[in-house]
Amino acid sequence: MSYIQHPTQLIKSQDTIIYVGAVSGASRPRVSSVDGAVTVSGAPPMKYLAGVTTASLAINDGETEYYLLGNGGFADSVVVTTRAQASITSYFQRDIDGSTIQPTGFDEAMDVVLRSRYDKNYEVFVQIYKLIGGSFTYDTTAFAASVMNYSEAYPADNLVEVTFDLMSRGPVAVGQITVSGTSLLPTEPNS
Amino acid sequence: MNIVQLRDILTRLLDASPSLIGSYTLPNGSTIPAVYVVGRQGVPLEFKIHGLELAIQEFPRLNPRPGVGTFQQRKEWSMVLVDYDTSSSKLNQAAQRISRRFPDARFSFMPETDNVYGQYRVVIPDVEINFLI
Repeated sequence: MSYIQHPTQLIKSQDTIIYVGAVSGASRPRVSSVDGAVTVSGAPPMKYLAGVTTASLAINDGETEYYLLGNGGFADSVVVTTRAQASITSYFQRDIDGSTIQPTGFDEAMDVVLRSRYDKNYEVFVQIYKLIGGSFTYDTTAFAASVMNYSEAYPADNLVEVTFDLMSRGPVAVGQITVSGTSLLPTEPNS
Repeated sequence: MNIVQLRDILTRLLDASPSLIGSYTLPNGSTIPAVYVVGRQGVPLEFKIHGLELAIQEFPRLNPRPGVGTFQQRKEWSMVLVDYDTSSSKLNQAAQRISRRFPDARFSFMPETDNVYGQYRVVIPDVEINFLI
């Protein structure tokens, strides 16, 4: 028996949205994964990153191997660290509120990222959502991060591209979350 | 950028000193810059044209590119620059001036005909980020 993979069965990048917020104060937002469900508390005001052309997320585990006498010579291990890394390519954006382009400043989400250019202790709270379905259940990854490996490119076809990595600090939560109300896909500019 | 903004930018650009744009003489005798937005109909036959004319297509060609949670709408505005004055070099001057404002514009020269001295088809790329629905 064979199955045809129907397109609606596939989760698409266009249904993925990345939110960032500025961590303030001395404590990070609390995130946890329990039985595959993510809970988040204390998140700052979150802004979506628009103009993202490419994004990737990796969750890297560090392990320590150990060997037990009488274990037949096989290695065992324990995961001692977990770190998330999101690599993002986005267009550099000015701020637009409503339909008015502001003469100064950047888009609110871009501004959160750009602060890391001069403040290396600045932390960003990151939430990446992939819509699974319903109203509205997402697969999500949540973590506090610092912005690293920031770079800009100036191609002659006119659009300035920014690439950066969001390297997690502290707990990383992965799993499902259900949002009541409306979809997290943006419908208007950040304000 | 919408068609009104594009028309205004190009009109100001080509009408700046020294003015390169020609003029339409309307049936009532008044004159206006020869910049026309071609929508459901072309330039009215009763408009009398002098010099350089710019006819802009009202609707751009769309070429969307998906993004992450949004999409990039790559628009291409198409227009034709026509010089009805056989003794001027304004066509090339106008193309040069448009290049300085829109350095990513593309120009295709079309040879002269019985009616016109020379003409350029000009394509101006324009990008915006749109929301999904």
